[in-house]
Amino acid sequence: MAHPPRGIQLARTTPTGLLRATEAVLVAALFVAAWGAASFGRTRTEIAAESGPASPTGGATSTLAASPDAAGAIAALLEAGVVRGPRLSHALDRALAAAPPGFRITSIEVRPLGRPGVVEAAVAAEVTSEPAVAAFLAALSREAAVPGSGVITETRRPERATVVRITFSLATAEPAP
Amino acid sequence: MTRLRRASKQPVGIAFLRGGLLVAAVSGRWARVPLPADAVRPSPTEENLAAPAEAARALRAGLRQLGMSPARRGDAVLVLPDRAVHAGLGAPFGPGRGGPSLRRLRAGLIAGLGGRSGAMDEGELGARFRFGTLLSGSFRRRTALGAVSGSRVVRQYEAVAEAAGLAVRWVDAASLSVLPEWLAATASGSRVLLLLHRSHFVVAAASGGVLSRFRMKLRAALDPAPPLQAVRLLPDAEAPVEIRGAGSAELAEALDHLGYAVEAPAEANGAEPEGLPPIEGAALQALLARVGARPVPPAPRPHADGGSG
Repeated sequence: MAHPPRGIQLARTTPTGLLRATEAVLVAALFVAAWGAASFGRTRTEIAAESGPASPTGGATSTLAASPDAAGAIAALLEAGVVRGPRLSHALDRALAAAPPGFRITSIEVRPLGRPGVVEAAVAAEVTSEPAVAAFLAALSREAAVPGSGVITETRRPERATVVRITFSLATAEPAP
Repeated sequence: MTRLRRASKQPVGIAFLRGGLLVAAVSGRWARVPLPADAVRPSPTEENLAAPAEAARALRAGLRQLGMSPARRGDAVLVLPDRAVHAGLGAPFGPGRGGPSLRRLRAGLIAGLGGRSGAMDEGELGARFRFGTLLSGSFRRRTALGAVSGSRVVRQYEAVAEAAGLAVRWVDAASLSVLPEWLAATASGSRVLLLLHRSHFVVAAASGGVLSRFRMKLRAALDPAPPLQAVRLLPDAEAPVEIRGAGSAELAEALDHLGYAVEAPAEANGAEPEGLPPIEGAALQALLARVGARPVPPAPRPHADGGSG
C-alpha cells in the first residue's frame, strides 16, 4: 500500500518536539537546495567571496533559515506552489545585492506572511556606517519584488558594529490571474 | 515487581456525533457519552454546540471512563461532523499551478458558504475561515480536495477539548478523515467509496491514487441522486465500490444486482446501536495515526465502564 497523502487539517496548531525539529531541518535543507540550484552560477560564489568582515564594498553573507514555527507553513506554501523556490531565490538575490558599503548582512530568515506569493524576510546586519541603513532601505524600496520594509531593532554595541534587524516583504510568485 | 516507567501521555480521539461524544484511546478502548439530541448541530457557518460546557463535562466523563487521568492525557484529535465543513474537489492541476488552483478552490468553497473571499485580504480570510486541503496524485497531475469551515465553528469544538485539559493537534471531518488511507489503497486501480450517514452520504472516486470525484450530499426526500444513483452516475462502472456506514448491506445488495463489484465490510453495517459507528471509528483511528500514534483496532463494544449512549 502506498503512503497515505497528508489529510485535511483544520486545526491551527504547530507541531511540537521532534516533529517540528525534523520539519525545520528538512525545510531548511529544501530552501538551501532550491536556492543553490537556482543561483549556483552567481549568488553562492559571489556571496562566499564577499563574506567576512564588513568591507568598503559592502559584502553580504547569508545563512538562510526558517524558524521552527514557520517551517511547516513554508513547507505547505512550497507544496501548494504558493511560494516558488527559484523566484524566492531570485528575489532574495536582488535584495542582497542592494547591500551598500558598510552594511554586512549576517543572516536572513524567511517566513510566510499569510498572503499568497509573498514572504517576509528578516535580515540581520552589522552596520559600520549609519547612512548605510538608509541606503539599504532606499535600495530595497526600488525593488519591484519588495512591497515594504522597515527596521525592527537596532542594537548598539561598544567597540563593535551596530546590529540592525530589518524586515521586508518579498513577492515570490506571479500575481494571481 | 515495581513498575519504574512512568505512564506516558497518550493522544485522545474525540468524535462529535449528533447524540453524543465518542472518546477513543490508542489502546482500542472507547466510550460513548450521550448528549441531548440537539446538542451538536453541524453547520459550517453557525455555532454548532448548544451547550459547550455540557460537552466538556461529557468529554471529561468519557476520559474518566477510559481511565485516562489528567497525567496520561496527551493531545487531542477531533473528528467533526461532516456537515460542520463545506468540502469540494478542485479542478486537476499540473506543476506550478498549485497556488492559483488552491486559491480558486478556497474562493469557490467560501462562496458556497455565502461569503466573498475576493472582498477579504488574507488576514481576514484566515481569521474568519479554516481551510484545509487533501492533495492527491503526482507532481504532474494532482487534485485538491478542499474543506472550509468558519473559524468560530472550529474554535467551539477545540474549546471543548481544551476545557478538558487537552491540546488540539488535528481537526478534520469524519468522512474526510478516512480518505487519505483509502486513496493510498487506490494506487493500483480505480475505486469508488461510498460513506453512508443518517442524513447525508459521501461518494468519492479515485484512480491511480488521484481523487477524481467527490460529492457530499444530503439525503433529502427530493434529492434526484440518492446513493445508488450517485454511484451509477460515475463514469467508471467497472470500479469496485466500497461501502461503509449504516445501511451498507442493503445498498451493496442493490448495486450487486446491477452488476457492480461491491465491497461492504460486514462489521460496517452499523446495525447495532452500541457498536462503534464505522465511519467515525475509522476516522478516529486515522487521525490518531496521523499524529504519530499507533492505535490498535477499536474494541467492538464500548469500554466496560462506558455508557451505551
